[in-house]
Amino acid sequence: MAAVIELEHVTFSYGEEAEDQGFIEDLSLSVEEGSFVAVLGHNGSGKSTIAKLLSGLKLPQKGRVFVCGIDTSDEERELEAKKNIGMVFQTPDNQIVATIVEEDVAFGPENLGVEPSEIRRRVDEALAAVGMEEYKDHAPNKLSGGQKQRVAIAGVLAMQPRCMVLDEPTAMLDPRGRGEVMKTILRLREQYGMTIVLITHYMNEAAMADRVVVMDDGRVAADGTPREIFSQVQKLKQLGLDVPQPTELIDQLKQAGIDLPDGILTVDECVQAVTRAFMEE
Amino acid sequence: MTILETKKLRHIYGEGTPFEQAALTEVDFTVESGTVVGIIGHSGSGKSTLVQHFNGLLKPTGGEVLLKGKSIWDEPKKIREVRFQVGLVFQYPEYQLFDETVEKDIAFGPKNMGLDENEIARRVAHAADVVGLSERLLKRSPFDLSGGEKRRAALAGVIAMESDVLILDEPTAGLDPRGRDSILDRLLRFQRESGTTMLIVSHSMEDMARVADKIMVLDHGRIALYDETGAVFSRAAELKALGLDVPQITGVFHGLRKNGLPVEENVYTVAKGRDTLLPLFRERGQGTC
Repeated sequence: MAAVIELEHVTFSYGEEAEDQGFIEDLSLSVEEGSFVAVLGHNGSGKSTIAKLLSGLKLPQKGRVFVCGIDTSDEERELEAKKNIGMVFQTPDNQIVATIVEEDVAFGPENLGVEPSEIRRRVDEALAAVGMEEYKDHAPNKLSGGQKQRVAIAGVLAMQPRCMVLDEPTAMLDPRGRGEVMKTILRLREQYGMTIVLITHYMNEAAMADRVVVMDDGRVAADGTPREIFSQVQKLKQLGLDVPQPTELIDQLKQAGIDLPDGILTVDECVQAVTRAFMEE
Repeated sequence: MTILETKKLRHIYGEGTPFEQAALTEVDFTVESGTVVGIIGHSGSGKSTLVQHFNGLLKPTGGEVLLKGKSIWDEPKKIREVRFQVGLVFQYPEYQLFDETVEKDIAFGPKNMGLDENEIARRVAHAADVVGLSERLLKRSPFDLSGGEKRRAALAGVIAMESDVLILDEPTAGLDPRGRDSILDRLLRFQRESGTTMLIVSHSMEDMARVADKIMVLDHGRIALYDETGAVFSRAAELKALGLDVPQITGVFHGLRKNGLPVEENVYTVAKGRDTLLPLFRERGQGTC
């Protein structure tokens, strides 16, 4: 499969006065079309800087960033690159512009000069995809956090990007809102083959991805499947991160000499593994 | 001893207007001095409205709030004193930093309390120590700090007021795991040493499990549950129906119990989970001692 996103030896910093703000150093990374990549890292590790580079909000000081094969610093094709990347941020309130849900979702395609009948079709489809079609006539400010975030996602979806970059989209939400947003993300990938880059602090969200990239000091510290990454409990802790609780429990039991399998990520897997070990005797 | 109490507390926004909306209805509860109470509930359940009543930022539209047995609105002119006794840290408090240096920013509260220079200096040093801000950072502008350091500076500003009750609204939101653990550990240590009563609002069940003695669950402006932490997390189905959840580790133990393992359901931290399972495995001759 082709790469939707390519970073080639990218270096970027916010300058000497902001040393501790996520610089990036000689970073190379490629994301395959249709994959779901989670990016982890402590605050200031450079995670959000990646999002800004992909969206073209920042340009690399060294190296190159390609979106669907287009160099983001190519001024003539800048718009074309931006069209292919949809951004979703932490606070949906900063991203919602209209007073009616469906008008908000239509804002993006309107600005791209899409035909009115096609806009209608896309808005309906996008709202259905995030499960918000019932609310199309509502005012966004009356919605819950999770619903607002899904409207923000629909707004991005209506522009039909090939890749969606979400920067901590669930940080402000309650558990139900978090669940709604994660389900929506998984559905986008399945139904539309959308490439997803999810920046998060929640390890259980990262565990749902195909691939986890761990950032530290502006570089990639680890890159692999969730199973590969989360089996390195000690390394992740050194990097200021965590592992999902079921993984941590298994790790602690293993350290005490109990014979349990590697790579446990979810509650169900943990229950099965412990039950099996317990019944063996 | 009861330090904080509400009696039939009611709050209606825009009462008497067409936009009238009940945010709290008949809330009755008590908080014991020196305990940590976690407040959870989905967005819009009334958490923020409730905590703003504790230091008189909102005035009840019915019922009353009692601090040390006395209604805080008995003498409305003395509400400022209530605010010195009940410290409130809002969500994302780093946006409230304003002074030239971190030191001056932390000193703002104590200064307003009319304390003398020496006492202010002692409190600033102590609060900075509690949150783990080094002396070097105290002389810098708060705007030059990193996100995590700003959060600590803002917390220190309220801790320096040495109030009897400290209310924290989402103190760890947006922090990475290391930052979150460090702030929670430090707050908890401070709480144990000072005996401050603490109320913490959070969406993170895992954080609540680590710090709270008791948990209050709000739903549509009413108290749905208010009990010891373990007892609240043993009611997974009810919590899920309220748009909440249990910590993942609690989910594991519910599953193990369903599979017939002799474990209790009220396990809510990984450490307790390990300590529950290890003896069971050892009885069966597995694992090293």
